[in-house]
Amino acid sequence: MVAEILQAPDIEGMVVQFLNAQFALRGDTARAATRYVERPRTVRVGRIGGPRKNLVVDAPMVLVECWADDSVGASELATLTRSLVWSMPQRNFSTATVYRVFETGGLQSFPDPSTNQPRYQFIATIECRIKPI
Amino acid sequence: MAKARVVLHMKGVNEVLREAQPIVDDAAGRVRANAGPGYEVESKPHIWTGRAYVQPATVKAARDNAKHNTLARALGSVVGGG
Repeated sequence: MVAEILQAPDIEGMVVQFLNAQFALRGDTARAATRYVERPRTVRVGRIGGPRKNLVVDAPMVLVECWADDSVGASELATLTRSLVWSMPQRNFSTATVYRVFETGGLQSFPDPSTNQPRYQFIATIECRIKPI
Repeated sequence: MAKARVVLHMKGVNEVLREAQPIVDDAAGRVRANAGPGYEVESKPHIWTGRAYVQPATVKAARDNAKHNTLARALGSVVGGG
C-alpha cells in the first residue's frame, strides 16, 4: 500500500502574494515579503508556529509586521493589511482553501529598534486545508 | 417539543476557570522556556479566570524582544489555534 502524503499550503507565500496583489489593486506602494525590505511602506509576513489542527486542517500562526515612515502611516498600513487578512476566507486561492481567520494577537504598536521606524503588528491564525500530493 | 433553556451558573463557571490556574501557569512556563534566558512568568489569577504573564525580566531581554519579537515566536511554538 502506498502511503498518502498530505501537504499544508505554503502560508507565507500565499499571504505575501495575496497582499501584494491587493496593494497593487489599490494603487498602494506598500509591498509584502517574508523578510524586511527597506521601503517607505513595507510588510513582513512570517509563520511563527501553529500546529496542524486535524487530518485536513492546518492552523498556522502568522506574524504580520507593518513599517512606514511615520506612526500614522504604519497604523494605517497595518489596519488595511489586517482587514485584507480577515477577508481571506471569502476568497478563492488556486493553491489552498482558507476556512477561517482569527486573531491570536491584536493590532499593537511595536516600534522597531533595528530600523528606528514605527512598526505595527498583529498575529493571525489562518486555518487552511491540507491536500494530498 | 419544548425548547430547552440553558442558564449558566456564572459563579460556578468562574470557579472552574480559576481552578485552571495550574494549566495556565504550565503553558506560560513553556512560553518562557522557549523565549530563552531573561524572561519571567508572573502568575496573576484574575477574579474570574486563570491568568499568567510572560514578560522580559531584564533590559537585555526587553531589547531582544523588541528586535526579534521573541515572545510572539515563543507563543507560536507552544499554543495551537482553534
